[in-house]
Amino acid sequence: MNESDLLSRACETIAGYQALGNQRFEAHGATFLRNAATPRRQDVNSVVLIRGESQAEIEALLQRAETEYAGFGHRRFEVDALTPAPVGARLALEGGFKVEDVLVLVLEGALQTAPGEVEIREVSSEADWAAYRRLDELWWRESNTAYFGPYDPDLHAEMARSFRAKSPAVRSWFAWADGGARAYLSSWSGENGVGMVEDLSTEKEYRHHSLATALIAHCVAEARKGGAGPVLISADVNDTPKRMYAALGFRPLFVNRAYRRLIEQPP
Amino acid sequence: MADRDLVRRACETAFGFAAFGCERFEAHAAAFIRSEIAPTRHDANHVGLVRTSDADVIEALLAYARSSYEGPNRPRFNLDALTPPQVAARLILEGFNSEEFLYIILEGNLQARSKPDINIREVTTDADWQAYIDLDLIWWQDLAWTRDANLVEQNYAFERLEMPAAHYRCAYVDGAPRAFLSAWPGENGIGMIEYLFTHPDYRHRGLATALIAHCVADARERGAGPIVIGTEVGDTPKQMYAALGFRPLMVNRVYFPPVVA
Repeated sequence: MNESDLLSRACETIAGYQALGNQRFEAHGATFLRNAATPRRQDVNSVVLIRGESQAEIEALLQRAETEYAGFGHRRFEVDALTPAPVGARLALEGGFKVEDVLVLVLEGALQTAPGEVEIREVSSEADWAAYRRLDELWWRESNTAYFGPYDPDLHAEMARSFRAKSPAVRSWFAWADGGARAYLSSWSGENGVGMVEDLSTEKEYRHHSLATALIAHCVAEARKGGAGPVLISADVNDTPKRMYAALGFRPLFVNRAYRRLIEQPP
Repeated sequence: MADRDLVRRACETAFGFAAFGCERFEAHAAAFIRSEIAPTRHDANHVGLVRTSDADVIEALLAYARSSYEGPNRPRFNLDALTPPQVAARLILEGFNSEEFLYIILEGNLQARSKPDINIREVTTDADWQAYIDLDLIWWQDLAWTRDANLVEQNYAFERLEMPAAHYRCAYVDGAPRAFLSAWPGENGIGMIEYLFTHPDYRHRGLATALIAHCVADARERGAGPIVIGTEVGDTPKQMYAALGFRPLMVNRVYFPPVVA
């Protein structure tokens, strides 16, 4: 797989992961993702894989987004590695968007580590999902109030519903320690030879115990068992895990930019 | 001109404008510019037109850039629309920060008429240049930049080097220049107008529009077709440019390393 092919497939894999469990349709040189049942989950109500570059196409796309997401509390457009330059420029001109950068890294060869003895279990039963939600709540409270706002159980339930709709294609895994789930990560083999591991979090007290490394090793292996060669992982551009991923052999591939604008809803 | 060709030429023009009067050399699939006259001026000392996606070449480029520039916030990389995405990803992994600049382009006629009573003059004499400098200092104040006398001197020496290829113009009101802008026809059919500023007390009087009209005409008389202008993404003039007929073309990002305390 050459570099240009890798980029193209990586963009498709990221969009494909978001699309799992949601409505997906093509219009105006882009892919629209929508799920009216989970309207506050922004990444699944989003325009992705934007490839139209003429001014007319871009204007039509923006207008269509207004129609498709009418009543939603946000508009979201992803500018990936292959989105034509005038798209980002048009969104920048529009203004009012917050740009959120995510660093996408790829592992093409073997993971540069030998994971320790960590028990990995698949998330499958309702009890498992309850445990998953406990960890997920910790993650929200610790890291994501800036993005999602103060912890909101209703919104969390909506997010969890949306996430579970991706299974069984996406499989989620725990690292188990001291009789409980202490970290999680999901694996997806993708549909084009490029897989993905996503949503890594470790309970604060259990960091630096190699749980994350063990999960990454397991999930990369799972994605590859399902047919993936290269495997992607995403990282917050300002966060530290990106360095850990690089140390494990992932290399930086591109920056995915989400242009996100909140829409004030009528009372 | 197809959009992709337009983007390519616009990237070359934006870099070419910054490269005036600088030492320019190519290495590791990128173009380096350095200025002895203005060593602390950011846009005169950076790496641009980066065109490699190869991980090894990117590593070599990063190492070479570190050895080629001294001082805080160096090296700086100006990544344009044609820079392979692996480069920004690598710099972000390294902890670089970035600033965005929107480039918009005018292909047809300007959608405005310049007011005929605005006196536009080209900056040619030493006296004109001094008046330009005085107005530029007000821009610094307006941006709340700390005046750095050394950098001020560097800037003027540097900008004068851009002449005569770049023509600087001022709009005069009440006997003094109140706004300025420069024009360059480029070298590939795409021109550029750059450094627009209007004294805060003289805004909303048509000075900027008049200058844009003059500078667009100047660049086109000297061979340009489309004209590009850069603006900070968070700044308001972009809306004015769009109203004049410019359309958004690309966003360039300048990456610089984190400041070491």
